[in-house]
Amino acid sequence: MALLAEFGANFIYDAKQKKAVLAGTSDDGKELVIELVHRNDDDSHNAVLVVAGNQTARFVLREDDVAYLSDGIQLKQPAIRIFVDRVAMAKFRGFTRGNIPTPDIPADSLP
Amino acid sequence: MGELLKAYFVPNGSYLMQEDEDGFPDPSVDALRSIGREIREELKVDVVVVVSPHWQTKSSFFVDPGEHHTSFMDYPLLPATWGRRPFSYEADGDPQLALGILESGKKLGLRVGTKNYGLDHGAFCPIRVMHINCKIVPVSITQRPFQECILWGQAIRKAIEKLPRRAVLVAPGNLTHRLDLRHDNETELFFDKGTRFDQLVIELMTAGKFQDLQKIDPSLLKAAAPEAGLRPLYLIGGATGGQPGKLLCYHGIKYSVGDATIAFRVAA
Repeated sequence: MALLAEFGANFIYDAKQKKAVLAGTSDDGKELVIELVHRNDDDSHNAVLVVAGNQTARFVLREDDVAYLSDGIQLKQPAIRIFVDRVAMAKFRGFTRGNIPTPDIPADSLP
Repeated sequence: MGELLKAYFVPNGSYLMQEDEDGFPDPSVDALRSIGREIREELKVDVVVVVSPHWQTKSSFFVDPGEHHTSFMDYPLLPATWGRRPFSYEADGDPQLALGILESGKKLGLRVGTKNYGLDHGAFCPIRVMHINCKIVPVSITQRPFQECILWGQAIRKAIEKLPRRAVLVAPGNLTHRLDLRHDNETELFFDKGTRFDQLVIELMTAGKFQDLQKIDPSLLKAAAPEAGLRPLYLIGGATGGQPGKLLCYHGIKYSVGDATIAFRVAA
């Protein structure tokens, strides 16, 4: 997993691009990545789903669209399950609820 | 009935928890511990309202009305560069006060809501280093306009005063916050614009000149990139009535991170 190899984490915040990235796997072992690329004024996020390196969907993610399970998350739409560790899951949950983490990739400004 | 006893502007870097646990000498850790002693032994506080600078919703101000709060680690972990060990924190909440803050915010015309959020490190790091054992009410700082942050501070105080609570407000944040420039060479002087910015904000805060925060040279503000755009100080101004603060500690670290600890009394 690229994120894990480079940052030692399956969730990172890139302050240069102002986006968060969650990386996990599907139930058939493919790498799944969700990029939250923009926080909207209603606190939803413009999101991109990348499956095995290919962008497959763009959607708006709201905090209620995510169910948190013991071993990952379940999105409503697109209906997809992502297996991921608990630390990354908690950071993702926080981010969808308004958190801006300490960045893994810092920039000259934060919100 | 209730009383907001004091407000504190404090640093919230995750390194503080590590230094506290390791016994590594650090003036900001000492300042947080002294605040903790004050909260425990002198003020005898029932509840701490903590405003996380990392809870930056755009739509509304939020408060977590939970009975119990658990933390999550929203900072890089070792072995990442600038990573820290994992830390956690748990505390009981105060749903009655949380909902009171919500109502006070509504009455002041703010967009407000409740959210099951918990404690990010912006909230739990300083609380953990203070070594206190109080109820906690987590609230957001938001990315809303400064004037609304002042009102949010007023809403917090009004809600506290309606309930039989001895409370303090903790609004963490860094002054200069250029994480992109930081490095470990502590022999190098703090970067010049950061020094000027931090000194200016400390002068304003210790003089009680909250309204002058908005007059800071925009280029200096941009260069320093303070955490949450100084909103924690606007909020403190609203909650305390703009009293002059007492500087407990200033520690410019890692070239570009300004840790200031300031205590504020509350106007009658």
